[in-house]
Amino acid sequence: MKRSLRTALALLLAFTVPAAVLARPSGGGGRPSGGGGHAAPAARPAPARPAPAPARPAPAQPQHPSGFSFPHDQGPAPRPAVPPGGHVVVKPPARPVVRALPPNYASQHWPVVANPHHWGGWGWNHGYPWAPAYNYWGWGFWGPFAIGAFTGFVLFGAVSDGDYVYDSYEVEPTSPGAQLLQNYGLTQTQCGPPNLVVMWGPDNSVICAYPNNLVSPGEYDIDTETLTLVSPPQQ
Amino acid sequence: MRLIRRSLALGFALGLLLGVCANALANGTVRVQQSDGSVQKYPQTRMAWTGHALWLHSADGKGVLEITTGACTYVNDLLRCYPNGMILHQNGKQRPIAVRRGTIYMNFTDQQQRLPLSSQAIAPQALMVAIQTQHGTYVTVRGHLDGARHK
Repeated sequence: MKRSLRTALALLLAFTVPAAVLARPSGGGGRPSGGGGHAAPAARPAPARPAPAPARPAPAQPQHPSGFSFPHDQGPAPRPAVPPGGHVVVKPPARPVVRALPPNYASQHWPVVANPHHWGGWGWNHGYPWAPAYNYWGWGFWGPFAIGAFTGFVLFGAVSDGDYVYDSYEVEPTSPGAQLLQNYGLTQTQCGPPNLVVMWGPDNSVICAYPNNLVSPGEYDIDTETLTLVSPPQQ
Repeated sequence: MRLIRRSLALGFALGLLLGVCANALANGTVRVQQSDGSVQKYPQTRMAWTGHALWLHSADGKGVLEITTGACTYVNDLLRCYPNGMILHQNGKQRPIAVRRGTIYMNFTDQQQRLPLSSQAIAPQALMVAIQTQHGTYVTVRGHLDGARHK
């Protein structure tokens, strides 16, 4: 029994010590590997000399790369390339008025079309609060449509308020916006024709849908916490 | 009887060994493809989620990449976020890295979860990241989360 225990202990030591060394955050453990052109040369032993050289300061060794390396990500961002025969979708210039639902809209008795699921406390998102992702159209509410990138956008009409034209895009199927449409049984359609349900999301983003028995034609804002359509009072 | 005891002892030792190794390797790999095509891999990167940001600590302890996120939503049982930006904390400085687009998927469940519209899956307590920077660098991450604070 003693012998087997000794064998087990020896095995344990033999394997755990290298594993612990591997896991320890030391200078050598985090060096990047791979075919990059940024790997520093390994330290070499000093060449043997026939006679001791007079004392002189050692030449500075090139510093080993440490941490992460992003040599190309400096300076201003390059302009997006223009796709052949296409146009670049860029964020429009700041508009004088950004539509936003006031936090006290309920106390002001704005008409609400209740979500059939009656979500509360971010219930539609497993209780996880939704927050903006600023470099995406509609702050990411309608999908991962990065501003400045021309792929992944499907233009779906536009809405004009007389001064500005607001482009609309096809909603990504797993986005919160798609869940909103699904909850109300709405089907997205191209913006432009009259008598549609026009929904204003974050950052002046807008999408349109055919009306149904729950939602009548008109303009609506969105309460992202409860995924509710709110009808602002007519000006 | 002696053989059984020896087998039990060996099994115990192997179990301990596997446990220690699994703990030591409970992290992931960051792959950075520069715009000139060169690639660096950073194995054994420690990863932590703090509710709004993903922190990637290089194994040598000298660099930390902070990925700030937004628009986090649950897609089935996976939490999906979009990167707002990246900050490289290194050499006592903070350097912002502009993000063009990307996606972060995290699986906080104890079961493997399949990505939406994909055959790929994410292991329990693991994550997957794909980010393109404004300068054309691609950052991909796969691995297990060492720590997570959900909100």
